[in-house]
Amino acid sequence: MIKNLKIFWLFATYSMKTTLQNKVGLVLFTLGKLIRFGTFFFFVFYLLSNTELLAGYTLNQTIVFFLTYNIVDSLAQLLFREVYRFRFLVVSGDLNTVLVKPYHPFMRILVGGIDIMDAFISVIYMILVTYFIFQLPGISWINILMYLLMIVNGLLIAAGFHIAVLALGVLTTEVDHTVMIYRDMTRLATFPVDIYKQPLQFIFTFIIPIGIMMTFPVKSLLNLLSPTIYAICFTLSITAFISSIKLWDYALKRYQSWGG
Amino acid sequence: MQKYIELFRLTVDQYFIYRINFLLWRFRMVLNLLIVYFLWTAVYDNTRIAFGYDKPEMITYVLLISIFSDLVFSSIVFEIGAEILNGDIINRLLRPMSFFKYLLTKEVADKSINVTSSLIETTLLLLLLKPALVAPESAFVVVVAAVHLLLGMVMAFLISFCLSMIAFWSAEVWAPRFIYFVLVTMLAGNYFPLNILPAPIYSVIQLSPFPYFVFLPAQLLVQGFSNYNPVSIVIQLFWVGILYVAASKLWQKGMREYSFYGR
Repeated sequence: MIKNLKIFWLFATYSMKTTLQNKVGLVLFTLGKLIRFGTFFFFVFYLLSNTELLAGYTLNQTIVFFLTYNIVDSLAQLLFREVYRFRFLVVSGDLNTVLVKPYHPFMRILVGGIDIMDAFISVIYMILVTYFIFQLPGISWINILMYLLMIVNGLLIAAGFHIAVLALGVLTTEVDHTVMIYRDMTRLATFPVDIYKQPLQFIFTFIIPIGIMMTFPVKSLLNLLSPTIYAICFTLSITAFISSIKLWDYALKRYQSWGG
Repeated sequence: MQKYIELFRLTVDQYFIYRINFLLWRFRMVLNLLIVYFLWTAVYDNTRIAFGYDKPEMITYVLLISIFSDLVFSSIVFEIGAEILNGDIINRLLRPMSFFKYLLTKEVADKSINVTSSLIETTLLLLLLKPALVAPESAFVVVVAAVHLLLGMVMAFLISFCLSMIAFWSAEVWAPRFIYFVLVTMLAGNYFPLNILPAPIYSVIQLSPFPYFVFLPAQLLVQGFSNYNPVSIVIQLFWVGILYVAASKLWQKGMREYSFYGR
């Protein structure tokens, strides 16, 4: 465990140093992300200030949904950014050099490219969400604990999805579109999935579990989830994670080393 | 002319060679449309009129914006930046055809494919969701909207071209384009009609190029001339002029200073 943490820290440091090599790009991309967040935040605020309710949720509740989506999304990007660069390793044959190293390949290809931009932006989201959560009436510490647990649960699903992308990358060399579809799918949960009519709402909650990842943490905060739903959420995320590991094992057995 | 027709055909064929890529790209576009469509549908669950728009007007606006965005913003001009950086542009310039006609032909082919797909997707969504829509108030409104849309396409092309020209002086071509994309997404009216914003903010945005890409033509078709200011066409022509001059100057200056080793 300690060894893995040391390797993780080493890769994270390398990644940060690489990103800092291009300071202009770093500043511009961060600025772009902040503009996107700022304008969208303003839109949500302005929309709900005038309409008062969105799918039954108040302004502050909708803002917490929006910020939670941003937190889960940016934490997933922060942790799993290296997946976006995986295709090159496969088609060039460089994946061989990762697989022979004396550590788990996920240390390099899954969490080996920490994104410093998202780390910075995630902190802003977290400060804002803390402020808005404390604006909500009747929130207990248990609710906050369950909210955090459901965010971790969402990240477990995100990890599973990224591992599945890696496996598909090995099997088909297709990574870019798969991972972008994941990004677009998760964007459907920018607002609570309650805005979608059935059966889309069910699909976006349990089949493509973006609702569990991004909407349900806030629902748990608002005490809207039953113990059965919690059980389904945790079962689903653990099953998704284990299935993705199995898929990765299957893909590795069929890996023939491309390129080289 | 024949060679440009052939180029058009080849560009279209390229999309059908990488069918999965194209289908996945279109799937992503449909997801984007769904977010905005259902967001506004949810808003109208509690109210009949929001920001001066009733539900059929807003849904018509959302669907029009989706089609217009494909028409205005789908572009291959961003590839020029990468080609300047890797030297491929030299091959293009040496070919026995006008570089700009080459660019324009590929651009038209790209837009044709994307708009056709967008029309098919929107029709399917209309058949599935059966929303109430509004029709334009007159044929003249359609003509004026079409003029604004055409000028919007020219503006988007010129801005994208100018952004690609950055590659003559810097390898940092993606970050400025990312900022432009972010600004367009929020300020061109892709999520909401810009005239729902507070008056001072809307007035400032009207001085920028953003409302003239897709918002103005869509708003014209939905609300007619009731909120239309004829000065809009003057401002849009002003932006086209400014952008054309900027694009020409950047291209000329870039070509004079450009050098590449190893080809």
